[in-house]
Amino acid sequence: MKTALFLPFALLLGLAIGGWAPKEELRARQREVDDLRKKLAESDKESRTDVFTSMVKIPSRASRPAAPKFHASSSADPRHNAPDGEMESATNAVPPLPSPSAAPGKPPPKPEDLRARIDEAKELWKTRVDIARAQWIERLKLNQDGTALFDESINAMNERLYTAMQDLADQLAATDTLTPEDGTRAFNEMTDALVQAYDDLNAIVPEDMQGEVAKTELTDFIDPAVAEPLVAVQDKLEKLPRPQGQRMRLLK
Amino acid sequence: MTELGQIWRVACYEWFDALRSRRALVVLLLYMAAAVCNMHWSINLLHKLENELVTVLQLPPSEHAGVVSTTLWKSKPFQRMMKQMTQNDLVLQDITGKHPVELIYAWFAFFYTPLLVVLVAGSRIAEDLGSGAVRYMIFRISRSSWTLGKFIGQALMIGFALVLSSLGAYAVAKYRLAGSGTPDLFLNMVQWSVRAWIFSFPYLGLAMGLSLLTKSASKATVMGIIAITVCFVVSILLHHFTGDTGWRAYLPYLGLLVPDEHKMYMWRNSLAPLVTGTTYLIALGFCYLLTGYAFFRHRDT
Repeated sequence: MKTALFLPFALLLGLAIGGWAPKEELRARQREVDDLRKKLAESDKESRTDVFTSMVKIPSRASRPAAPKFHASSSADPRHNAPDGEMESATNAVPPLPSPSAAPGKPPPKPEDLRARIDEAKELWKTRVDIARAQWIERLKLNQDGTALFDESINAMNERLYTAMQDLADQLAATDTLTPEDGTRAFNEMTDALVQAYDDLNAIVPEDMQGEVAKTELTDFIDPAVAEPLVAVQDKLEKLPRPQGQRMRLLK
Repeated sequence: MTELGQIWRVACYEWFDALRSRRALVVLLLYMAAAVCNMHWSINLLHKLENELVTVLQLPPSEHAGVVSTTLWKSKPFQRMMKQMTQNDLVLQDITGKHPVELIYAWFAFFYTPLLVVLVAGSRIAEDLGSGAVRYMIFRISRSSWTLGKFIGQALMIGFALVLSSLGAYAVAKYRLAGSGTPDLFLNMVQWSVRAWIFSFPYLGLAMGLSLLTKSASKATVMGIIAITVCFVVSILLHHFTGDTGWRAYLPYLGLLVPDEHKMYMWRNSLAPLVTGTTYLIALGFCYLLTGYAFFRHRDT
């Protein structure tokens, strides 16, 4: 009987020790889930900058902090910045802005900064656009002249997008506000650039291939550098009130 | 007579003594009054709340309580609100869809049972020690059998009173909600009573364990009330100070010794948490009681 009296204590101790490891594991998993939920909630908090940058396929944050660059190229041709041996794209028509991270003494941009996001998107884009370009040239059965015209159309599209972004940035720099009308017009200008690119491509391929052109995902060819004019006004864009209701979302 | 036989004999005598002294009737009335009044008031309150809600929503008023709330359970925003309140996804999943009256009964049963347990059983051992009646008992049986017999007798009496009180609450609910198309709540209410009974085990052990330390019935009751208050406060403090790093990370393990930390197991539907919670709570009850017994076993009666 005396031994039996210790049974509840032994049972309680056993339950506590037995539950220790699973509880620790559960806590670790819970912490992971909380972190993921926090990240998810943060990604939902989309700023006005993201409304425009998502259209040109720039990620909402860089996956790693950008390394400081101390040797900024003064060349206007982005292909000169490519490392030796890297595949060079023929469809980059956007003159690059000098990177703020290039200035010595300045800290490298944070992952949320538009500059870091554009830099990362550009890295990915260079490889991706070359593959996509090669695929579409083969699919549309373009000869050498056709390929040159294809590149020209894409370059023209990127130039038009860059101009649209520049107009938007200039307007924001001048007025500090962005009315729904301004936003809609900016989107219209951007989508118009894409529509014109489809028209250009339709003009260079034979009639029977026009169905294939319609399947081209032109956003794959958008140079992330087209969003560079927005870097200068990123702070202003982020301070603007969020778009109301579903109106801006529908435009995305 | 074996030790188990002795324990059973003491438990039966506890019932016999309670019936002879009308104590059993008082206990039963106390539990029944708590359950019936709580059910009546909660249905009134629910009805008023629902009427206010339908007025705001510009809907025709419902004749019976619970119709609006049952529909409300199905709404996602309401479920999110409840999730914030319970702060436990698993419990929320298990209670979602249950009739609000049943849940209110369950909540009250879990709330008032520990208090009633301390008030009713807290003085039982101290009374016998104070009157000297214990001397006649421990002359024939061991002190441990007497202590465990008292504990089991009281536990069975509380269980019986709780099940009967759920009958009373069900009768009120049946009368007040008649024709509302709600499911029959009888079995669910009995089930919640059984769960509340299991939850009362550690509090019973605590009250009777403390009762072993004194010969004054009133002192034992006061010590019991202070002890359950301390348990509630400790539970709140543990939640407040628990952190991810350092000594704060170990606070949840201290919570294993407090009954309130195992309460949520008893709100679950699946077998695993119910069995774990039951084992924890019964073990805790015996641990509290036997800690008091450790002081009592060498004490001069």
